[in-house]
Amino acid sequence: MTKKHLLLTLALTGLLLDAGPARADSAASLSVSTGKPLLLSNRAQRTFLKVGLVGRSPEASSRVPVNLALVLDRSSSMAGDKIAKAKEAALMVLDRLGKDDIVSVVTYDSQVEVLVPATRLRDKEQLAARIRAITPRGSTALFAGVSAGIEEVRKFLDNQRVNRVILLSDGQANVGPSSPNELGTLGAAAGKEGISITTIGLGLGYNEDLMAQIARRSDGNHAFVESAEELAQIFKLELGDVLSVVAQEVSVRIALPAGFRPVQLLNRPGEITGQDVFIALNQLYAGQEKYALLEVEAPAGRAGEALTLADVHVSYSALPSGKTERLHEAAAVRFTDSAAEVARAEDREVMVAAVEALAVKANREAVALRDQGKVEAAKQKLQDNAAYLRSSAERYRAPRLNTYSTQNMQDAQNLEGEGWNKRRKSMRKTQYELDTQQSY
Amino acid sequence: MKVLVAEDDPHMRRGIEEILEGEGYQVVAVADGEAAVEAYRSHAPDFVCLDIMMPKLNGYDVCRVIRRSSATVPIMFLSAKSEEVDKVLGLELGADDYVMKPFGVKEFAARVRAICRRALRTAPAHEVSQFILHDLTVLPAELRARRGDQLVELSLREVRLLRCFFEHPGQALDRDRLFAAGWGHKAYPNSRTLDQHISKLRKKVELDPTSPRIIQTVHGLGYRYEPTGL
Amino acid sequence: MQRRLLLVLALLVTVPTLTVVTLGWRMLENQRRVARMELETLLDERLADLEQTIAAELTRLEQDLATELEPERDGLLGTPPTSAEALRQLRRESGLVGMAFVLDPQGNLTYPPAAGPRSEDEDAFMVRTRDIWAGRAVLYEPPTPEPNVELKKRVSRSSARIAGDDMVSLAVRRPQGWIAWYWQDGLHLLFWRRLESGGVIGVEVERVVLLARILGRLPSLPVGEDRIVLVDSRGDAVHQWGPYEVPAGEAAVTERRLPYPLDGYRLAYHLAPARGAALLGASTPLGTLAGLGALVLALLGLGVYAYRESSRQVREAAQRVTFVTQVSHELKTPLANIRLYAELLDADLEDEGGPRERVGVIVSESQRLARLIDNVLVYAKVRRGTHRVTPVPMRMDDAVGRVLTQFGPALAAKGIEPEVTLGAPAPCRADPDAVEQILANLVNNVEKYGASGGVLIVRTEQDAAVTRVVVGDRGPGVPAAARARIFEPFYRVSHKLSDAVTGTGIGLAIARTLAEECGGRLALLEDRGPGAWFALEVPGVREEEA
Repeated sequence: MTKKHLLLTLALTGLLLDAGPARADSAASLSVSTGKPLLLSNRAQRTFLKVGLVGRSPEASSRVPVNLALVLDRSSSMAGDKIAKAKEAALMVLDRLGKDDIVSVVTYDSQVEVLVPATRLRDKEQLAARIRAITPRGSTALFAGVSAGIEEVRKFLDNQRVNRVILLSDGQANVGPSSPNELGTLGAAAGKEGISITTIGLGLGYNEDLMAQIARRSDGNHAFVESAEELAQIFKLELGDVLSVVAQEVSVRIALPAGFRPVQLLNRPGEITGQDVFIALNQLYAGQEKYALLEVEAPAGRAGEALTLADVHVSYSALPSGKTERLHEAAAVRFTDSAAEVARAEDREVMVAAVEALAVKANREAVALRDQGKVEAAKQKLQDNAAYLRSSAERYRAPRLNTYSTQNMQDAQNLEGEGWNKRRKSMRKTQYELDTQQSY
Repeated sequence: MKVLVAEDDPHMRRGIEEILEGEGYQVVAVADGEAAVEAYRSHAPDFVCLDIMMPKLNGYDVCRVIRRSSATVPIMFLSAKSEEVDKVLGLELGADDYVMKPFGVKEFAARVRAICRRALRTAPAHEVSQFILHDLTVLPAELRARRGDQLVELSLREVRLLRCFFEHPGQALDRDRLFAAGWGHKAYPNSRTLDQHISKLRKKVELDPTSPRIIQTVHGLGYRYEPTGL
Repeated sequence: MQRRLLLVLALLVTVPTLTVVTLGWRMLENQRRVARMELETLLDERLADLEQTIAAELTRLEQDLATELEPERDGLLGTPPTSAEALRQLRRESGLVGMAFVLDPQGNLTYPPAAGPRSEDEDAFMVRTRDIWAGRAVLYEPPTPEPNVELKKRVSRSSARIAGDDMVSLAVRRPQGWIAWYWQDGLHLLFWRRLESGGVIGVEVERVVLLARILGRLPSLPVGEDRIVLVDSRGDAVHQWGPYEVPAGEAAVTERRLPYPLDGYRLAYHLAPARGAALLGASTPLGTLAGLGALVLALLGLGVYAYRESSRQVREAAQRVTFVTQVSHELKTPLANIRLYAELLDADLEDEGGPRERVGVIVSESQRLARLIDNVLVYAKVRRGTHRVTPVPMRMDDAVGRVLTQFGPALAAKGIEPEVTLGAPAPCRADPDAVEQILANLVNNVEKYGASGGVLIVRTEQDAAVTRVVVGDRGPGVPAAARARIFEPFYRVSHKLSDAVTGTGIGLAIARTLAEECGGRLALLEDRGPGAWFALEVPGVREEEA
């Protein structure tokens, strides 16, 4: 993002205090905005803070080398078309990578085999031959497979590379730790080290909660591929993301002044400790915005008073240099007596993001209700959610909210019968996509 | 009397034929079982003599066929097989006797006579029951003659010859006449055969065969019975 | 006879076979037991190696943790990470660290802060560990290090109640250590390290991550065709090495517990059946089995050979008997013709004395030949068990008459005068052919052996129950030594070559057999003065036949 753009953003909000040193050559740009820059005076109320980060557009000349582990399910359920397409996709990935990239291939069934240990991609043909030789067998030791994948990436862990595991599975983990929580913890541990795990669920047999958890906690992507035909496309998109990473080890610290209280993070995991909020992102992709939404309770203020809402410090490791860059922005609110003014000043973009995040939360709650067998309650929740989205779409003139509204209506109609399994997977996928602003 | 002989061994067949003819029977001889059945139908013999091991149909089978049309005609088996099973089987099939090879001429003749006597006893009694030549009483149906308490076995032919002498007392009977009586008209045995028979008969019926009283020689002609020739 | 032979042969083969198999089986069992023990030791060593590897990984991780908790002596900051911010950062950066904590020298928690702002995760940690700080939790301490002690011999983990201050006092004795406790879903691990200030800094280790780190570095092991399973405290498989798919419920060949603090886990070795057999068969019974098999086969072969050989002999004997029977029958036909024609010739010869005498010889010799053949046939049938007689009412005197007629010329030729006394005109019950054959044999003996006496005595007598024929001579008689055996087949009183008398040696044996088959008996009479005297007795007719 250019300086000019940044200034424009500041001018539009008119609220930007203490603009940090925005350098033209930084790998990312930071924007901090609030849903309601004007608040009604003399009462405590809540508003949304949006912290957005946009990766710099890619330079055509060079790309960051990657350190990639492909973790492929070769359990017997993969037999036939699935394993063929998975191999095809893996070969395609191989094809797109160069000799500076590091690749490893791990396969797992009831046991784990590191088919290709982490190595610079020098002899593509030998690797390809090994991939082609994969045959399905046995059960699904997903935990061990992911562990081995992580370990392969760790061998060459480098903040000047994109460190990533791509996990493909079509089945339930049935050997080793297999709860979403346990696998999530494993994902989180990988994330802490700068390794993202992208999870691709194939078919209708995998555990979407588990796969989504791994991705969420490690800041990877998550995809649901119903038919093996789509695998190559997903791998292509994923590889596009991987190759467009411009910053890694992104940490966002939001400090709220006394009087303000952080209520909750809407769309991303993070830590809230007193007035401090910490959010970690593993990477930023070129030209893609990633944001976090924080619900904040503001104190009662006098009319005309202006208060700093939040100080936001971001640090990350820029690619390909590996240098740490820091950004700083702040957001402020003013108080007024006029409700109309408050409404007029609303930041539509922030509000739409917030509505979307809340709707995702409601959608997730509906899944939980349905899981408990409360089909009617879940249905009601989804229908309410759809209505909320529809009215918000109108209010904020945001057509994409209508799209999600329609989806919620469809979700409400597919809570039972054979379609539910597939629907649940696609709901999880959409929840994940919206929460993390995933590009595909 | 007519006898059917079925025997595949030609020498045995010829031998049996000779014995039976010597006894005065008219013999029909065949060499196998089928021929035996055929001969039985065409000749209606009074007595059947069957070898067991024969070509085409064996003796048992022939016996079965014959018994289907006649329950009474006497049947005698001849066999080299001494198996008792055979004996039993043969008798069960309705055979009247069973002669094992090798057998002696006299034994065979005696057995044949025994069977023949039974047949004659049951046949209609158109003949005289007995006639007397001097001190000899001839019992034709018995094929025997009696002098005092002494019994003399006679063959059928011998009975016929004795009867011929009895019916023509005092007459000198020439050879043709005697042939006709003992052998039938169609047979032409030579004179020596007749002489032998007379000689044998004398040994049986004369008190002293060297000076015969019942059958006297008529030199150049034949023989004669002289009732009062005492 | 055949069946008994078969039984004996079967016993001869099976008894040694069973003995050999039993002994061999025992020996194999012993061998197998020894091999199995050796195998278990071998596999246990493999597991020990794996355990060592895991222990090394654990030590490495422990060192990593220790380094993270070690105050940076030469670093720019120079401060140990005891501040809340530093500890939070530690947690954000280290995958293994679920939460950090610090105890002051008095054993009080300084982080997470007892008062002041805490994150959700910090709150959760406080809830989780509340009992520890209050001294209520039962924690597991490491046992006294006893490396490589077999699982079975290893004592159960010592457990103790430990509070924060206890941990501090532990830290006086040791620079660092592990503490494990069970809470809700399973084993939780704390790693602590002594602070120079006297307090303790520690972290809650993410167990799953610890496991992943260890397993991630040991994705494959040279397990061959077998399988090693890492089993958790609930008995669920955590990780597996090797391709052998273990059937449900199969017990491991050998097991080993992981080192503390992962001693809730154990390694189980499952041997692939095929490989198991191969390994067990290091001294595989193959050789022994082959030997055993060969022995059994040899025995069986011997048995089969003996059986076949004996059945062949039996068969050949049967064939010989059949052959003799067949030949004898075949002989009868020409013999019948010879006799028939000889007698016909005799009839033709009128009074020609010389030729008739010669014909008489032909007839009597053919009769003798017929008798010999009859004896052979009867003997063969008796041997085969197919001989039958057909007793019917008959007259003994007739039978005697027929036999004497038959022998007349022969006796006359030898100068033997028959003295016949007939006293059995009433019917008795016997097979006439058999009786004639018996009498013929007796008279034949007189003709052969008793000619020197010059007389044949035949006497018949009868009462209602028994009809008896006595046949005797005044010849040399039967020597006392031979009396007991004259009715045995092939027994002959004189075997001297110089002895001019010949015979087959079966005549009396057959005669007695025939007599007995007719329900009578044939005996040698003693105390009749010189000569040989025999008596044949047959039963009288039944009442309904009388």
